[in-house]
Amino acid sequence: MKKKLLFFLFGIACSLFCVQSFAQERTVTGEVTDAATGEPLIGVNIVVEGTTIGAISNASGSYSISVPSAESVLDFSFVGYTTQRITVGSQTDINVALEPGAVGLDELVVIGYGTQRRGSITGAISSVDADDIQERPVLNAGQALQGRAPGVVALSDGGSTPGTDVTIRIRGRRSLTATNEPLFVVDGIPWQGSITGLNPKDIKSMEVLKDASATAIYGSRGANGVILITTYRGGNMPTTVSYSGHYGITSVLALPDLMNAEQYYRLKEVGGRAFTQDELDAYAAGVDTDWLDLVIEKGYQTNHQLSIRGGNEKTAYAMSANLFKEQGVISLQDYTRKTFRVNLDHQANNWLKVGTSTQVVKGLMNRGPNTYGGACNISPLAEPYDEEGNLIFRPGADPLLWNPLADYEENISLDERESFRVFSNIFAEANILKNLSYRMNFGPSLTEYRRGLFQGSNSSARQGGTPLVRKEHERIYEYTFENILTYSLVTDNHNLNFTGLYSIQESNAEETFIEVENIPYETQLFHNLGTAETVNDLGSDLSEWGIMSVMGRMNYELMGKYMVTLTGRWDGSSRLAEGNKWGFFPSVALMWRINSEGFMSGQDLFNDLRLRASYGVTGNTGIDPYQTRGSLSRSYYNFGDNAGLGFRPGTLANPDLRWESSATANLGLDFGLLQGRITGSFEVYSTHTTDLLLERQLPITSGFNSVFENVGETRNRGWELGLTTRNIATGDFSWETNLILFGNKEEILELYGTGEDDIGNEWFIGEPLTVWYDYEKIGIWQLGEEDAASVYAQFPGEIKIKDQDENNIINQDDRVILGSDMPSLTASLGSRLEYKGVDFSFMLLGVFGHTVYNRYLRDRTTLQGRYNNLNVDYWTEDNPTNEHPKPDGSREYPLYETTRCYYKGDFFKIKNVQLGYNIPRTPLSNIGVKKLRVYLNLDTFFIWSHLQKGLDPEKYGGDISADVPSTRMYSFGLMVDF
Amino acid sequence: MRKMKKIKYLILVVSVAVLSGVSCDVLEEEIISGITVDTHYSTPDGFEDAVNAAYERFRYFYGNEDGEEITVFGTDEYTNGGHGGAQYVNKYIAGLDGSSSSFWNPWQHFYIGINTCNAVIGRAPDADIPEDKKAVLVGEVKFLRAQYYFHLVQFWGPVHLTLEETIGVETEARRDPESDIYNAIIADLEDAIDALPMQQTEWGRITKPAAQHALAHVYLTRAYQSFGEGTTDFGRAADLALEVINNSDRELLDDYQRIYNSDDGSGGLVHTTESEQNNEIIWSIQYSSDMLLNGDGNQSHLHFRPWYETFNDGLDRALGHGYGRPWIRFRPTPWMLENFRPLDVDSRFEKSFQIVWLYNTDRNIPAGAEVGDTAIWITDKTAAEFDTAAVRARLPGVNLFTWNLDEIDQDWCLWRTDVSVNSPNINIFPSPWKIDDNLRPSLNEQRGSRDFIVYRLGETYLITAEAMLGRDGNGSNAMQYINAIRERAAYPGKEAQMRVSAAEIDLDFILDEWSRECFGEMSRWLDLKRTGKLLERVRAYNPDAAPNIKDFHVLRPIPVNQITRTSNDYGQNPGY
Repeated sequence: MKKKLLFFLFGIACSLFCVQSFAQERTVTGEVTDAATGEPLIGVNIVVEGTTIGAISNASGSYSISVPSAESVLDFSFVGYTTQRITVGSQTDINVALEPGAVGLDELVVIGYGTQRRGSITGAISSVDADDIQERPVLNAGQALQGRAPGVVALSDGGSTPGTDVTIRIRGRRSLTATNEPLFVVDGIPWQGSITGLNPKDIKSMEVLKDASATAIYGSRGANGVILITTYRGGNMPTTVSYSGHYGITSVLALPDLMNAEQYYRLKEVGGRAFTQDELDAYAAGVDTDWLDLVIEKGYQTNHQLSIRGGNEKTAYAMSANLFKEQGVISLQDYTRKTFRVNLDHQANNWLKVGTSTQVVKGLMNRGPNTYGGACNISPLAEPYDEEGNLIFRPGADPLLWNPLADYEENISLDERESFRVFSNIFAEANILKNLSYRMNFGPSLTEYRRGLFQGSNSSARQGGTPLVRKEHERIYEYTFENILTYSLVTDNHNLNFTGLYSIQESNAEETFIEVENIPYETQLFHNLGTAETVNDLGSDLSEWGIMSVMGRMNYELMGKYMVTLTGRWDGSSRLAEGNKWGFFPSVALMWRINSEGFMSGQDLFNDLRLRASYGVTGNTGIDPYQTRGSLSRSYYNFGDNAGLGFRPGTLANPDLRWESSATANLGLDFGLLQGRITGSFEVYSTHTTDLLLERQLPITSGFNSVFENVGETRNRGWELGLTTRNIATGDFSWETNLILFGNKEEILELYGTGEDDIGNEWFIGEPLTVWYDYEKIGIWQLGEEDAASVYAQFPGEIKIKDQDENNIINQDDRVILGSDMPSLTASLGSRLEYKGVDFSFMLLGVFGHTVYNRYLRDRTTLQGRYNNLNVDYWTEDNPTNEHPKPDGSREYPLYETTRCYYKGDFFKIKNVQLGYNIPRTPLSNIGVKKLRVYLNLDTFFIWSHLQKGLDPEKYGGDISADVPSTRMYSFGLMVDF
Repeated sequence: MRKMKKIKYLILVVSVAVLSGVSCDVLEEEIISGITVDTHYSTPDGFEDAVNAAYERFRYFYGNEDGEEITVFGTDEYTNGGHGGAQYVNKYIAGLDGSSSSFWNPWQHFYIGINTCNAVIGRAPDADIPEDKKAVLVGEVKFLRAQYYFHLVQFWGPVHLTLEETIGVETEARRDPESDIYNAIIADLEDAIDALPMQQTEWGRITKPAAQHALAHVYLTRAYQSFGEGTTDFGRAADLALEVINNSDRELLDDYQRIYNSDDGSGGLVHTTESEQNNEIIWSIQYSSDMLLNGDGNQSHLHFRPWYETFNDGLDRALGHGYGRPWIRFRPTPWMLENFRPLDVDSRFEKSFQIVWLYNTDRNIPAGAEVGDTAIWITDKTAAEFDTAAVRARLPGVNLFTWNLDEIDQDWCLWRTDVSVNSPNINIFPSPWKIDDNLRPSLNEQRGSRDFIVYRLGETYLITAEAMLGRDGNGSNAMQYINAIRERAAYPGKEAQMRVSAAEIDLDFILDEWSRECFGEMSRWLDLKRTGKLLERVRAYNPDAAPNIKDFHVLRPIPVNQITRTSNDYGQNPGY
């Protein structure tokens, strides 16, 4: 109740401030030029310090801005130039010449609920610039982050299926069962759900907040790091129309080496699997079908962005429309995304500004049947077509192996996943007093999701059975409502900035689904479900949650040398039980700008040197709604023809659940040497997570398999180095290199307070959060070892397991830790050369030190002779290999099959190579073109790994299922401004 | 004017601020689409919901692959076919250990079922429901709890025994002595016998005869145990079983085949309400053709079926009876088929097995053959008796097989002397009619709708006979109950040949009869274990398992999940 009162008073206070009369306003105009050349500078950012009043210089370099008072200070900032601060005083006409400066220490960086000069930032924040996002063909912000920010591991969720997400982990994982997803914040509003729904071409910058000083303002959602995304806005500038687009052809990097007819025949023979007459005939006739060749095609990707930006003193706008389309190498799979954005700012009067950032997106993913899987399975002795060229639905001997080509018939198998989302931030901003401003954000988001699944009778999923139809519908409405107060005071030696926040977020999700089969006519696809004879399944659900927060942050800078940031956030969550709803997340950070000290004035080695230290606590509320309450599970039964539905105890209640909290200490050094020829940051950190939200597995004798508890501790320790060097910077020629290196070590410190491992969950104290825990393969039982093998009830030709405890029994006690799926070292190297408008860039990515589980190998090396196999070296009486066991037609898969699948995960990729040309300005300006760039791009040019060819080692979680072969893309792109 | 403007904006800001101030229910959590234990179980409907839920877990055992693997495999009746990943359970070789899901799944579902039963029984006093109705419902649930424990103790020996609903987190578990578990089972079943009526209005609910049959079964099982009461237990078992035979409304059907199927009107067989709710059935696990009620369904129809469709052209899987989806898990042993001889006296072989498949598609049909002609025929005869050349001449393209042991190692024989080499015929064998399920909505549908019969009166006769043999030490009393079943099984006019004398009856004979009557019904492994005949008969009759089975295999391995999740030392069964 006290808290409610507090919020209410806060709200009233906010409004009362507005009653105050407002200071005198006036307009300042002027021109901004390059101090070296004297040429006008276009697009310079001009901001009244401590407020959000801003303007941008136009094509002739001139600007116009309203300033509240004579004490106001104007900031002129532009990328590549040193920022200037000028106190307005009595001037109305201020001309400024900016000095070129390599280090953008004065650039404004988005830090969450505000901005800050790069040189004054106390926390660990990495930025990714527009260029890195705009110049590359990327699907989403996650791909744009790959290799661009220290501490950020961005790995694909699964190969080359169009529209596949990227999983992002910032500084490792802290939580065993709660989420490790970072929080995405788009133009100030938290973005729930897949980031693929956001058009990356609208992104102007991304900031990755890593340490507690930077993330504690996001309190209970900050523990996994925060990624702030800012989209392009308009300004007081001439209207610019831009088009950018690319078209690329995708093709597989390599195909796995599957057995041909001869090898497959031999496998069946050795395994003793019976041949059918069809197979023998096909073998005699020399049938050898390359099924992969029949299903794999060339895919493509294309993206078109049309945007218009501009504005005047009062109103600024940025609008864009975008079409992204990708078709996979399995042509039944594609993804199309259409987005439309309006960003608007309007200065209503001298103290009130209103505006919005709004995006509408429609995504359509066709996850048609993955014929690649079917093609990998089916026998090379089977033929796809009969003599008349008609498709054979059941080719070959095994009736379960349906012809994958059947799925290419029109409307035979559809899996259409359509989503529609409106995501908006509507804001108003008032300058209440000279130094005090108030901002209100209202961010509604509405997501509609619909999945329509149709599997016709002749599809490979139904294999001649009745058609099956499933329809799912989901609607999520959520909103964020924020009140932000900002106060700033700037004097010669002191710079004080205070931010206060009161915010609410609520979410309401409803879903409905129905699955039927045996529809009367196939042309109805997944519509008109009422006509079906059989209802397989139906259901609906409602899930609601809310968060309420109060946050305060103070930045204080003394004499331009010493900075301190204090933050604190209180978060309350509906998901937690009464009494545990609220948590407090504080942080403190210090920064020392060594370079500004007197003793550094004599040297010219360092032009920037800053030391940062921070400590703070952040939270993680990865609990689903209603999880603290014991719930009942539906049971299905019948008595004769009567329904016998029931409810059984489903989950254990735990009203004591609370926030998982992570305390992070961070030490960072930012440096610039040799006039900015070398710049970089080095960070070391340690995150200690306690009260882990943990789905603890229970002995089932209690009737429950698991319960959520707050027990256990984990620690992440790591280091990060980001280094940018300007190797050459002469007039026409420049060469810049970015090197990113970072390592992180996860460790479970404690589980249940007993110091004991939890083998049931495969959690081990002192080890990373997930490990591969299995038997250790030491070879194959060979001829002559019959007696030794019989001790374990085994035979020559079977996989030999190490009997760790040498007790002549292979059981659970013989399993050992075989590695972890999390890499220990990630490295990326990007480089860019420019000569007279021609540029060449590339990016290399290397990930090392982890172990992957080769599920593709497991699934394609069953050696039973029913499905085709990878062409591996297997044991026979004449071939005493230790690689793979003897084929056995009577086993679905070999004994201890998984022990063959653990591989070193190290990989190295040439992610991207690009050659571009900026066509010189003079010929273009005649035809009204301001800028024109063309480029050729190669994506995933090369992969090196320990896996078989054709398998992409890049997969978050290290479970390499290779559902679709990995691809490379050659593309051509164009960017033009009018 | 300027003032007015300010007020306009002021109103906006104040209203927004106030709005935010009143949103205090943001943090309140209200469950709308779900319910919790405490609110629901005390209501009349809620209590019945809990009772219904107590039944449901048996669906994860009866008619489920895991449950069948640990009751059908590794016996004298059944060995493995060519497909399936759990052949180690049959062969008693590496892989048969605590990490196998074949053991974990039944184990976990039994305990989930037990906790549900405990919740019903514990919360019954507070349930708002008429006492007489409540007593019957509690009786049903006590029967179910006893069944869950009876399964557990037979497979695993000493296991955790709890009769209280789990409220908080429990990380410890015990291995309670088998005698305590039997005492709890007996107490529950005695309560159930007292509380339950002779008939229930809803088919599939537990009745008094079911509880009596169950308790007879429990006493019969305990009688063999060192902690049991020997002949006293045999006597109790006989008395209870006789009670069911003599004083219940259950009766033996005239025709063995009608226990499982009725006529579909076109010469085929089908399971219908009529066949599934016949007078011989005492307790069957319910399945439904309404997929919304059917859960995972009865999947037996997949597991016992051979891969007929690959043994000749002109054969497609289809919805018609006999042409279902084949998973080729369970293959009869030579002994099981031989056990039905003489085939012209005992009708049960013919009434149990499909041995002929007819062409059902023109696609690739052999030259000279037509749809409806014989495509596959599995005979019991030797080549000389059968005259294969003549049959082949008469039936174009037919694929002939024999299970006659005199033909062993011949190409057309199902059997090979060297079982370590996979025979191409491993995937073809007689297919039982009693699992066939042609009412599935689609030909690849796994969720069958056939009820799974757990107890029927024919089995009560066998329990009676076995108990009397144990009690008397001879077959003089047991004889009439064995003969009752055998006479029913005889072809008309062959009853006398089916009858046996007291001297012919010993434990092995009863087990042989049990197999002829109830083969494949998920009790064989337990029957052999109960009678102490598992090792002997597996070594004698299951050629794939014989070389590998060891003494310790009479207990199943405790699932690793149970051992590793338990905070105290749970303890594995010896040998694993």
